[in-house]
Amino acid sequence: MNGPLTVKAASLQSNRPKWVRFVKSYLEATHYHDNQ
Amino acid sequence: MFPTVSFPVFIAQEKGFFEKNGLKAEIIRINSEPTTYQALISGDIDATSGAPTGLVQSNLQGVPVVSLGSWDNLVSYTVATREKIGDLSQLKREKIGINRLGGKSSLILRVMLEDAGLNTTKDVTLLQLGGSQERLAALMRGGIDAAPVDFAFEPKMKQLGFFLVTGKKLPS
Repeated sequence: MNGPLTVKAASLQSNRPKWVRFVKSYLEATHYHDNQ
Repeated sequence: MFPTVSFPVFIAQEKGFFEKNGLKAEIIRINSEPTTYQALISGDIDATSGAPTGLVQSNLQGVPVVSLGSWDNLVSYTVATREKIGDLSQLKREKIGINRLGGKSSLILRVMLEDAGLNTTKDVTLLQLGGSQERLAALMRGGIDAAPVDFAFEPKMKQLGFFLVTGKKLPS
């Protein structure tokens, strides 16, 4: 695995909804094409 | 320039995906893995993209960090050389640029050179120069003979007349 998105475990536990939205944004970006 | 592994974060910011999902993000380029993890652990930044070696080292040192995922399962480096060589063993006694000892570029390079039969503590000189951009600049100035460089720079490296060397193929 290269370039992992990494956060502190405590941050993930205390603010999981924020990180879910972060990963969702990241996933959307991986599907982005210039012609969108 | 941001390394290729960080492109999704950059795109999410530029194209408004963070904003659409109710997040306000600020992207900061930190040009060293150890420094990136120091910033994460101290709370100066909330997340990192890149730097896989820091993920392992932090946990080994008792600082619990977790990975949320990655889009990339390849090593995004090409070894660029000033002189044409047949394989990496010919880098013996040469000066090679890396980011920092303990970082990804030094780890990957060490594996590649050891695969080629070199001892990285005796056979080559490793110089800590910073990110791919800085290593490419050092190659251009002639201060080093080779460096692992992000493959986003491949067209530029070819244009500048450098030679690109691949490592041993992984078993399929």
